[in-house]
Amino acid sequence: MCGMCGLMQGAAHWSHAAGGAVQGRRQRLLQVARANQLLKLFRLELQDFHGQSYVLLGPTGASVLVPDFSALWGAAEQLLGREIDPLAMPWPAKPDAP
Amino acid sequence: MTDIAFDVLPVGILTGFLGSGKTTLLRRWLQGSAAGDTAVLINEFGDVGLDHLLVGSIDADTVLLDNGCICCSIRGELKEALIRLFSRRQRGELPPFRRVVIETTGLATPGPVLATLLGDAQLRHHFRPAFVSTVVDAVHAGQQQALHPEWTAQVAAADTLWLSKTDLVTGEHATALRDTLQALNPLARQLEAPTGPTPWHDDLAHDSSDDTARWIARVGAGTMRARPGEKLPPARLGGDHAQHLERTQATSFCMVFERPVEWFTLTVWLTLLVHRHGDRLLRIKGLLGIAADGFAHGQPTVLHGIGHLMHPPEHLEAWPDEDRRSRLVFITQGLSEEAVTASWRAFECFYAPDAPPAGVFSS
Repeated sequence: MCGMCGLMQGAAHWSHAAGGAVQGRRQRLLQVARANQLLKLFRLELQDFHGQSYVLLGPTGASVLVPDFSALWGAAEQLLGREIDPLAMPWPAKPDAP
Repeated sequence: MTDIAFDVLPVGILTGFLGSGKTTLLRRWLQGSAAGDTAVLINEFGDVGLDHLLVGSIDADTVLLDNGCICCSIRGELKEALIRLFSRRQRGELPPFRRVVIETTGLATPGPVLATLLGDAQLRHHFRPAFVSTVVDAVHAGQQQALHPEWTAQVAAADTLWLSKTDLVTGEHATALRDTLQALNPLARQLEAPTGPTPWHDDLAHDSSDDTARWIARVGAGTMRARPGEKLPPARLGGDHAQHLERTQATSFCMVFERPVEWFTLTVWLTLLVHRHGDRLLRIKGLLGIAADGFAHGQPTVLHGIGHLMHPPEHLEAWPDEDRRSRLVFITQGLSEEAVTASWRAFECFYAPDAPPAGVFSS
């Protein structure tokens, strides 16, 4: 739980691989970095929030607190005003595609 | 006392469509002598007809059977019923039962029950989902499949499928039904519903490592099924329902990865897939070697999801057999194998454009 704000969420989400407190925090940041690579396509940015939650920043400066990765995509769609479909992603064009 | 206080109790879910024989199966189980140590949550006592087994009423909602079984009716919220059950166990008002079985109503899908168990901040410290048993009515299965989406969800969520009323149908009919069920849910074991008092099924004496070993054998079978060129058997119901089935036909397939899967890429992809298409993903189950910071390379991990819900992954110490390939089985409804595998390939390519693709797909 975050002592400042009483946030009590996100800690047990399935996408957290495992590991102790230090390892867990490190994995969390790696996971955020990975998500940001993708979110960049939508001009969104994810930040870790006290190791408990995340803050999702929209292109206009709007921000949403999200408890875990399951809630992340709903929040992203809300900020964008449209759906994100993993089956039809706006992938960047590859300069030297085979 | 302390070991009672910190127990995490396995919870089994017994489901099946209306009139399929859930209560009959439950009654047969309860008549078996090894059923002690079990608390059963049911909707109505009256239906189970336990009167001759009763030892006494603990209160209006709870009765104790002579073999040590506790029966509770669910009044109102499932969460409250479970919490009440647990706190009375702590206080010694009930015998220290070691497992719980919940009988759902025939029109319910197991998803919300699992969501309650996994998602609730209070419950998840005291209970863990152990298994889903689904009773399938051999006489009405075809009709129920065509008309009720709940039926497919119940079958897809099952770890064990109990076939009831098989004595009322022809041998060919029963075989066809078994094939259909196998195609819908290759992960589940199929058993005949017992016709007399029966001991608790070994599902109920749940042991996590046994369980994992068991279903890995089934995942293996799923992999075999999804070999190139082999297509799932077509819908067995023609006529009026054909068009409906076209849309609602559930299918299963298995993705195979030659190299350990990059965990963070997988979680980004899978959380997004589950978020957007969770209602079409009836079941996900996989044994994955994961590659992630802080893990031994290729540590085996069991992943399990139903609909929008993913269970916490289970990390194994060692692989159960020689096959070190990661395997991920999907049971989907209206979501094609091609679409899912292409999506994964695109994500993999996006994150590691230079690495050779780890996924080798059967299609």
